[in-house]
Amino acid sequence: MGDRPHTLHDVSRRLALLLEGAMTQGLSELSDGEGEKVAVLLSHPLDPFEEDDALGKRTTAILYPIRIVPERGLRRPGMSYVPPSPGGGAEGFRGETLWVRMRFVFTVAGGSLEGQLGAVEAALRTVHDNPLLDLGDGPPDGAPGAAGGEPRGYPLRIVDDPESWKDLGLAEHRLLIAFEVTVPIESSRFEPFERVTGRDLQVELAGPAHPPGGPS
Amino acid sequence: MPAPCAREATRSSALRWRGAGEIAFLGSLRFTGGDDAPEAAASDEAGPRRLAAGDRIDATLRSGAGPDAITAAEAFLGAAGRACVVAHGAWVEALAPAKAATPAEAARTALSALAERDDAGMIVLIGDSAGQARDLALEIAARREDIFILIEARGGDAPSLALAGENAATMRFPPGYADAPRDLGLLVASLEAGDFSEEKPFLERTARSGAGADPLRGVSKRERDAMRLWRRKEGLRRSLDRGTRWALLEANRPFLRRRIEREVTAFLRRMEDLGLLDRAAGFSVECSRAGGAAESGRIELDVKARLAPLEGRRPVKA
Repeated sequence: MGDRPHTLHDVSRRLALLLEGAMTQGLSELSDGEGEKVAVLLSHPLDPFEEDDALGKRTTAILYPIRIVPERGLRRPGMSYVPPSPGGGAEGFRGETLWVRMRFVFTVAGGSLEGQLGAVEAALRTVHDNPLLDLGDGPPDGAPGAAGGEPRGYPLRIVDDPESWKDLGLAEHRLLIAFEVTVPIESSRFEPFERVTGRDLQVELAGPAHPPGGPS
Repeated sequence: MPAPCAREATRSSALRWRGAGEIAFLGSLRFTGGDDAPEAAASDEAGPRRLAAGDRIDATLRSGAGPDAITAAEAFLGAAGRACVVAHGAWVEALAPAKAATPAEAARTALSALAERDDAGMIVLIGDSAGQARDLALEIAARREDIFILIEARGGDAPSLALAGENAATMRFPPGYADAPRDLGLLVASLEAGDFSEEKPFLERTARSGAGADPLRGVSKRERDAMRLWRRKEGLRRSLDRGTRWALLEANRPFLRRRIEREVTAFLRRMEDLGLLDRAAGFSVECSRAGGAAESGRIELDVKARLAPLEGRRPVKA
C-alpha cells in the first residue's frame, strides 16, 4: 500500500471487482450458458434506484461504503521503528498505522428476482470464500498474513446490519447485505533516524597556571 | 555514607580515569628464524607479552625479547610499575615473517604494531631497536599525539634527557654505559608513580628502588614534570575518548548530545574535586552535530579545561 492516499478507494474497487467476477460467473451457471456481465456500481443506492426503469431487465449490483470506524483493538499510539530497507529506504520512526473497519452495503436492482437473489447469493458466497481481500500489492508489515507463504490480504467478513437501509435514506426497505474490511491507513509522519557514525574529540587542556619546573 | 555512594557511581559510569595508556618496551629482538619460527597460536603469544607486577619472566620471553628490554621491564616492575608489554621475536615473526628477515625491518614492524594497539600509550625503544626504528618513532610521535615515544641514544659524558616536542624524548647515555635499560625502566616507573589516580588521587604510591619521587640522574624536574603533564593530558583525553565510545551508532539527536554533555560534565567535576583540574579556571563542555552534509552522523565534543598545578595536590589521610 505504501504512502498512496488511495487505500479506501483501492479496497472499494477491489471488492467491487471481486464481487463482479463472482456474480457474473454465478449467473452464467444459473442460465446454463454464457450469462451477461453483472456490473457492480460503486455509488449510493439512491442514484441507480432513481433510474430503476433504465436498468430494465439488467441486474445491477450496488456497493456503497456506508461507515468507516477506527478498529479499537488495533489502536497503537506513538511511533514505531522502521529498519533500513535493502533498497535504500531510510531508517527512522513512523507514526503508527491507523486501522479502520470499512463497512459496505450491497444490494442489487433490475432484472428478475431469480437474478437478483442469485447475485446476492453469489456475493455472500464470494465473501465467505475469501476471508482475506487481497489488493495484489501486498499488505504492509504487521498486517494479517504478511509473513511469507501465508495468505495475505485484509480481513473481509459478512456482518449483520438490518437498519442500514434507513441509514442510506431509502424510503422503503430493500434487501441489503453488509460486508466489513479492516484496512490500514499508514501514517505520513516519519522521522528519519540518523545514527552517530563518528566523533571528533577536541580537548583543549591548558597547562597549570604555574609552569612545571617553575617556582612554586 | 556519602563516600561509598560516590565510589559506586564512579564504577557504574562509562567515564572513568583510564590513564595514559599501555607502556611498551621494544628492545633488541631475537628470532628463531627460518621454518622453525614459532607460530602465535595461543592468545598470549598473539601479541607482545604482557607483564604485571609479580609476573615471572619465562625463558621463552627471555630468548625472544633480548636482555635490554627484559632488564628495562624488570626494573620497571621492580620499581612498582603496574603493568607493561614487551615486544619479542616470536610475535614479530608472526606479524610479518618476510619483513622480519632483517633486524631493522623487524624493529620497524614491531614499532608500527605497538603503535597500532588500541591502548598504546608510551613506547620505549631500547638498544638496537632504538637506532633501527628511530626515524619511524619520531614520525609516529609527530603523527600521533596520543603516544609518547622515549628513545635510548648514546653520546655525551653523562645521562641526559632531551624532550623533542610534547610527546617524544631522547634519553642519551654515555657510550659503554651498561645500565641504560635499567635507568629507562626506572624513569618510566617514576613517571607512572606520579600519575593521577582516581582511586587514590592525592596519595602518591611509594616506588621502590629509588624510583618515583626521586628524580633520576640526567632528568631534570622540568623535563620530568613536562612528561608527567603529558601523561595527565593524555589520560584525560583518553578517558573522554573511551568513555564516550558508547555513543557510536546511537541516534544522533539532541537528547543524546545533552546526555554526553551531562556525563562529561559530571566526570570533569569529579576530576576537579580530585585535584586534577584547576577549579578556579573552570571548564566548558559542548557536544554538537558536526557541520556540513559530508559530516552527517558525526558529533563534535569540545572540552576546554585547565590542569591543576602538579604541586597543588592535597595530601589525604589514609
